Amino acid sequence: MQLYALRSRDSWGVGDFGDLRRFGRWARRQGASLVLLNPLGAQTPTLPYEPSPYYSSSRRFLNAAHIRVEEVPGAERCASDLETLRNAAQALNANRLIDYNHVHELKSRALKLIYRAAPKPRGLAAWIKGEGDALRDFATFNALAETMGPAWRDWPTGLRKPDGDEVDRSRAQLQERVAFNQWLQFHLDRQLERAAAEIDLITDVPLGFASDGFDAWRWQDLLAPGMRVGAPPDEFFPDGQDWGVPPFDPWKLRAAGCEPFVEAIRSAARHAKGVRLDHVMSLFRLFWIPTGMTASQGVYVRYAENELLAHLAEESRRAKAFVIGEDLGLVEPSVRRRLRKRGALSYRLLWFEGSSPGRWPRESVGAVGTHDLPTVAGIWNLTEPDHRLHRLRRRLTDVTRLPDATAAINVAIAANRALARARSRIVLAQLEDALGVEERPNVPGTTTEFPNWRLALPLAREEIERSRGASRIGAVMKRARRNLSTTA
Amino acid sequence: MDERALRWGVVPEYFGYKGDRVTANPDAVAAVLASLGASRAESASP
Repeated sequence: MQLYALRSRDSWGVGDFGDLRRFGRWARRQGASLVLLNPLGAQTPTLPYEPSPYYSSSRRFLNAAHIRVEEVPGAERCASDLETLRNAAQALNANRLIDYNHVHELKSRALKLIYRAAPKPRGLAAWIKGEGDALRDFATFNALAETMGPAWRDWPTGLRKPDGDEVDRSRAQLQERVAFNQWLQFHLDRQLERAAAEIDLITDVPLGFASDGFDAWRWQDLLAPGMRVGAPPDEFFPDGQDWGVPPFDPWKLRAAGCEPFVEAIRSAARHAKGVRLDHVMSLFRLFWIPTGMTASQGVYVRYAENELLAHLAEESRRAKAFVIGEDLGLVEPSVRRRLRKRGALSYRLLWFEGSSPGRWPRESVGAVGTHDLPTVAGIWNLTEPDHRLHRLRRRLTDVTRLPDATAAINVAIAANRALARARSRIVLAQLEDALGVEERPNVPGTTTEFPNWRLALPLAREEIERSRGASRIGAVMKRARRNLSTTA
Repeated sequence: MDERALRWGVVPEYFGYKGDRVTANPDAVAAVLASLGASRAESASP
């Protein structure tokens, strides 16, 4: 589920942790055991506000866009001041396209008011202490970015590294904003914890982070200069893909005890029952593209797979969280074997698998598609913009045996009925399919052509909970006895 | 591709989506080795 897309009438233009908590409560009553979320990493608090959850400033800290303003303790003390902001923010819900810039402006103004009213909630000091230097540096980075702009490589030389004397001096000068950013992370963490108490969560660990964000500033000495990560040419991207994220130097990463990787997993697992590792092949090798070259000219570079797998297993045990390895696309059989041996769940998609879901492996997670792939309605109605994918309609016909004139929502129900019979330990139904949405959350390889990561669901959370599609998928899963276990 | 690139973890070739063998681009290999600081003390593969 794309959290940003799940808006209620009370949302401030974007889905938030309050929406997640209420949706989780409802979903659990429908028989669901888990909710898989998009990555929740923090974005730099500047405009334009980055919408892509796979290109965050930090994998460790949380995206402030997801704060539920009214549920921050202290909001009640400035209720009248918040009213104008709330009205403006809730008016944004009328547009399906999420206006992140406006959301950020309105929430920032509201949070500033609440911070002034209640700057020291109970538990804050201990929490800040527990987060250590990382939180201090993150809050400093945000305060600096608010002042000097997001491109830290363009900051004065003394500010380009987190451990400089000049950064210490700036931290003291910006103390109020540093404290605010720490306070905000505290409340985000608390709100996510409350949501996780309603339903078990699977959080997503992206492959990397923005080249101009906090993680890149913090870990810059471990990054490979002049390189970006991508993928070689394939059927859908004949020129290859350039994802723009900086790779870690595998030698330096290993010498640092794989700390950035450990931190990303630990953070994702903090309030989760499971973690999904995007592009799990990255534990073994990554496709590097040198500056000035195209994606088709990139080369693969190996990583310290034994160490990374050992850290992953250790963090999984520590958090009592299971691991899902996103092993779609070109993945060597030996990689799948090693992950399976470690107890990681594989990924199986109705779109990709030639076999019936009943033949998929038990140690897997099954779904129709992902955020990067078409929806059932997009394929069935042939509105999917990538016409090469229209061939998937045949897959739907094979699986559902439904005639051409069938409504897309009925095809989605039938596809989920087939999915429910999968041997997979977990099967995931997608809200887009339950609501007959034709657009997918993201069209890889595009930038401005589609509203990637900015499209809200067409119905408010309250309406989704009353929708026939969602309840019918719930019933299909129940009939297949899919809802009996809350663990993987 | 030379032994040095292998030792530094560069994959000499991979199977492309058409099943063909794709050999690592020599210019890209050189850029990767420079990025890794391959002139520093030699290392075993990660």
